[in-house]
Amino acid sequence: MALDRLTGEHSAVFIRSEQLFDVARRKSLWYMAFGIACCAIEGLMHASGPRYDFDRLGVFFRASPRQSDVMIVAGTVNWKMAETVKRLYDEMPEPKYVIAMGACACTGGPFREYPNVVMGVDKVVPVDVYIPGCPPRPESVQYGFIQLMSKIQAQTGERLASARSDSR
Amino acid sequence: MPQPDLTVVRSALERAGVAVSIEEVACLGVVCRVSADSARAAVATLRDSDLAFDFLIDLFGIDTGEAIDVVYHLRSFSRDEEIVVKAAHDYDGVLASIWDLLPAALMPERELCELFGLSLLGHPNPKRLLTTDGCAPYLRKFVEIRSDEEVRDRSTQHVNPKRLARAAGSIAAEEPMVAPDAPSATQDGIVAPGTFQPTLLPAGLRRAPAGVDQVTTEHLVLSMGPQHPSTHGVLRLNLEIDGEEVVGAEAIIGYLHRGIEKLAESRRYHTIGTLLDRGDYLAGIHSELALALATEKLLEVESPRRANYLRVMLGELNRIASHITWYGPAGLDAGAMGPFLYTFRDRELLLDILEDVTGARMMFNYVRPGGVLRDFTTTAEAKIRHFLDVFAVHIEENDEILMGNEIFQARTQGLGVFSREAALGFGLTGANLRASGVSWDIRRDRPYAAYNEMDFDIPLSEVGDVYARTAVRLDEMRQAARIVRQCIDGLPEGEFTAKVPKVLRPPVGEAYAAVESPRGELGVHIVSDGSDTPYRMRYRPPALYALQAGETLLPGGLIADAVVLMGSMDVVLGEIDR
Repeated sequence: MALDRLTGEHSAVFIRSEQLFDVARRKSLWYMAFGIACCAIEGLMHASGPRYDFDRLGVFFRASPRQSDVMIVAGTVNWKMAETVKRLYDEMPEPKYVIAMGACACTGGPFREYPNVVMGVDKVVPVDVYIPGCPPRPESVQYGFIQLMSKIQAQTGERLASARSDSR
Repeated sequence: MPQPDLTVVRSALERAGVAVSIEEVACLGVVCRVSADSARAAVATLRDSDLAFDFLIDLFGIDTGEAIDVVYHLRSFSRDEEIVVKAAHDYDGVLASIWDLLPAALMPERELCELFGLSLLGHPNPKRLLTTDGCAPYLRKFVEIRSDEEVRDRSTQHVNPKRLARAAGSIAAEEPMVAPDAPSATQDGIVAPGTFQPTLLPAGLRRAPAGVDQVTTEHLVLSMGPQHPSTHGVLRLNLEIDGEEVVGAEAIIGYLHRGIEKLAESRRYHTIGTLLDRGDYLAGIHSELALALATEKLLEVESPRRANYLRVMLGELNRIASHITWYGPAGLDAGAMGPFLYTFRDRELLLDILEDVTGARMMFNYVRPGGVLRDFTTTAEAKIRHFLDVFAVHIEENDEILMGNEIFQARTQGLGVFSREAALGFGLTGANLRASGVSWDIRRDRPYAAYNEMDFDIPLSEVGDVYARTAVRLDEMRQAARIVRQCIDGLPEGEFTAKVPKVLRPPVGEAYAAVESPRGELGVHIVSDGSDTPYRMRYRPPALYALQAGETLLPGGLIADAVVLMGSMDVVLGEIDR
């Protein structure tokens, strides 16, 4: 949205800082390049490849958890991996979001009966968006990101409402 | 499958003092049964005698209900023969390591011991491989998988077995699986500061002689992974580094261990493909095909000619897709972003074709025992022809972008050289083996499906370095495109599946079938007890053998080369951890 088209010359726009941050946050969801299993091929590699090109949405991969906003859990999490997932989540700066991609990350998927597999990554870290599929197509992941964006936008309203009730 | 002469095997083993009973098992070949104590001697004899069984295809266990059968599957390349050695071990018995005879056994032995609860004797690194402390020996029959109720009720709280074990005080730290009276293994681990003697340095690197100005160097242990953008999955490398140079390396795996072999014991035969697809997730058709071939051997069913052609065609398309997924990131490892974007342009076309025919982009479950799931679609033919025309141009572009790049050449030529002996000793297969000068391809030497009707060359290289492996894989893509064209031109009419019952109940027996997957010899070993689910299914992971071979080459190189080297082995962690 080009602000200069909506407002006249020499005008000022008033916006709450939190609101401004949320606008900025929504537009550049950088995910961590952290592929666990098969879903990583579809959700991370093809997603940044030439056909799906998530860069168009401002969604791009970063190699370090310190620089990322979103963690896509793309694959089966077992007990050995769970500790690492938790640790990586803790290393990410706030605000942070988690997308559980694929059946394994949502519920344990086809491997949920094996005692070594964690039945869904939400047992380890809080999840914002679940994407079903085995593996989900890159389009699904794109839709998941759009859902996450609208979720962040909705957060602004919630935050404003709670701020109003606090000040009352 | 060519089989060795029974009398020669018997006399060789008896001369070495090994009591043996030899039988010929249909679908599997010659099986020598020896006692647990003489298993090591039997393998040594078979390796050193004229029989020359110097290649370990696979090493795994079977819980028979009375004991654990440890299975050594050996091959002799010089005589082109295969043999199986079985040794029954007690449930809390000791496995004598054979890693000094056949270094390929290093990781499979660790895996066997933790998943069956055996102790390991004489192994240099007797730690758990796939699971954490406190995990049960999952492949034993008494360990049950989660029940339906437990799985449906998502409110069940499961606790990390490692935490449980720690809380119970049963383990203090990483618990090695050593036999109680084991001799202490030589620790090639962390060296005390100042005592480091540099090994042979790579060309172009100079080092001040040790002790100049009383400067001693200290080593840093760097944990690379499991989250690292260039380790190709959840591989963790513990590198001990001295400056830029790698002194010691250990690959830690198991971050994707999800029990494909265990779960297969509770699945019907035509649904196991679902699990195997997710094992080697880049080449699903191949692992399904290995399973289908093994099941067909037991059922004595032959798939129709049209099905064989479809299997070959989709297998080769999948091979190109898999090699592409390796080739692009191989450039990324060396610092080139371009090849990734160029190769994924082709992969999208390939996935479109595979989706058209099989219905899924990656997880096909298309090849079934008896044939394939459904017939070739009318729209796919035009797509395949279009792809072949486009790919003939694109492959030359890709070749030039990466292989023609002087920086890439300088970084990869002479790096990570495997001699012919080392490659065979470590159990390398596929393109990794062919890059070291061994002309072995299951498609040609043990033809399956319709490969005996196809005309194709097998790319070879004598050099054995990273550049050679890249070149061999690139040539394989060209040959695969050639095979696909032959298939689409000569696709016969007829049935796409043989008449098989809906619920398969193969007769009691064992079968091993191997296919040439993009990563090498992918084998499936099935033990059937006559019911509708296999008693034991073993999946031979070619990438596991490639990984442990790559691990041994890391010390002495630079840390930046470690990434390129491990990338060149083409490891897929789903297959390694299973």
